[in-house]
Amino acid sequence: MSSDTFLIKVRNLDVIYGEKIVLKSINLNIRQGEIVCFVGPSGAGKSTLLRHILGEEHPRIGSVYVNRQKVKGPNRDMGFIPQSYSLFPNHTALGNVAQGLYLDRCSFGKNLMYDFLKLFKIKTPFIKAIEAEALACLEKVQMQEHAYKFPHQLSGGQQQRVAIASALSMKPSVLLMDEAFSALDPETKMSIRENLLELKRTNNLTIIFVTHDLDGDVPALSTRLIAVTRHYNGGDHTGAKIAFDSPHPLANEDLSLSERIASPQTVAWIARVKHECFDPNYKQDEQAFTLEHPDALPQTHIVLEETII
Amino acid sequence: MRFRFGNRAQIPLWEKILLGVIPFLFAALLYNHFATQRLIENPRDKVLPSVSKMYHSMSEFVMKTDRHSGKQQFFEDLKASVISLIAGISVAFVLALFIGITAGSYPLINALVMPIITVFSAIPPAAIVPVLFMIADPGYELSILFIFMALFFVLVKDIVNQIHKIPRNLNTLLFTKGASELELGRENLYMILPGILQSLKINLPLVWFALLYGETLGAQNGLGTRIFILKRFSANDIIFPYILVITLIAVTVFYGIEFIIRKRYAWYNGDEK
Repeated sequence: MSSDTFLIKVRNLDVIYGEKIVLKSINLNIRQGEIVCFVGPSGAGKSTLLRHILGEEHPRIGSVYVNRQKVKGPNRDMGFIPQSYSLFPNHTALGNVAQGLYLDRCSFGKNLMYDFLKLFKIKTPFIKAIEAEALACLEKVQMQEHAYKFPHQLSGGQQQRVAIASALSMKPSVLLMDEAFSALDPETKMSIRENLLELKRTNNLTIIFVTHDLDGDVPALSTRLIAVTRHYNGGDHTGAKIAFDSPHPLANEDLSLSERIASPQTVAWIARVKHECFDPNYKQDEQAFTLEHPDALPQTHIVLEETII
Repeated sequence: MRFRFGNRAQIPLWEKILLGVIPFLFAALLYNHFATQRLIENPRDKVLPSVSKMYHSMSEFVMKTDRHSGKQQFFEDLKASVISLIAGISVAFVLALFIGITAGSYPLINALVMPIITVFSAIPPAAIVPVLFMIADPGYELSILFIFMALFFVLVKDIVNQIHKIPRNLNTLLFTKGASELELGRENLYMILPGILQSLKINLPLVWFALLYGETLGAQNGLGTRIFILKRFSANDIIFPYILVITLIAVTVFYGIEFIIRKRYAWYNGDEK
């Protein structure tokens, strides 16, 4: 299959902070429409990998491509939902969603003018249209009733819903989430997961998310699991690698979230992930890679294909 | 329970007002006591004039016109001080915003600007007065310059600090929404604006000190100038009302800023939860 079918490509990515090697020879292919879960022990480098795909950090060695373009920084093609500070405190829920629409459609000068008009609560047809669009986005996550509340007036779950609406209002091709649900209660998590799956179905969105919730987020949402774990060579840490890359056993089944989570196949799959990626007695050396996903790549330096250079 | 240390329970409004008024009443009673005692000892005492004396002297002074200009002196003083105050604060605020946001957003500009800002902020305005008089003969401009010096450096440092405190995630989010660097600066400005107003509010006493000090040294008109001139005649019956006027303006500005923060930036203090 041609490498151009992949939406995201990471090639030979090394991340080194000073003397510390964080990631080593990361190679990754992700297709459009996949929901990829990054798991791994704390500090292994999952978020670092995610932030390199986002373009927030620039690799000195290796490259990241999204939509065949080398990633040079965060851009409007990628939605991002962090664990905290996912909303602007000075905007209402509606304002947070509308903010991206204004930035996308107006020049700096026009935005200043609209800020001035909004200060005096003057609504031009353009402002009304933007607000209607933002409200429609909030409706998709059942937050229209809270449209005029500020983030500090919303619960954690409501804030994350608004963050999802805000990210999706830009119609990105990729949605990146960094432990976005970790502070939420199980009920809210379940309802947001359903929201997200519905939005993914309608928009064919690609989602990459970092999580620690192996028993919830991973079996419920993912179509593929990637574990980033530390690797050692003779006791020395040689940087984290993708040690486990596996498709969800029920990725193509049309099941409800609870059925997906409770299925014996999923339970066995998660048990294997826990053993191979989190059990300290499981030897994580050069032979410990479980790269069983059809798109998985070797985690060593590879020669770049001409098509992506 | 209400006297428990660290208790943050809300006090009813009437109780707040009552408690707030008590120290003022106490101060007024104390003044009246000492003023009466001094007036009994010496009916021509000028140090602590009675309230009625102050009222009559001030009423006369307000109506009195200047022999040369034909204008009412009190209102000329008031106008001069307010203009200096507005000019000094505006120039310092706008320039500090521009330099602060730029220095807070670009590490290279930060490295270029912040050392000189830190060094200049350490220079007491009073120390440069002789130099200023040698170079030019400043009038009311001196108070504007002093206000600028009192406010500008503090605000720049505060703005840089506040820009650095904006979570990195928010700036990343702005880029994912298609913001340019200019848009980033605009959004950051909106986020820090209430904090800067708060900083301005806290630094108002410094501003007043700078205004009055500048006026006593250079200006022809102004509330500070008048107090300085009247001091020669020990005219406390007019000086005290002048101080009262200054206090009233200061309190109005203070609560004006407070009102703007509460009304326009309710999110800043997490109000209306």
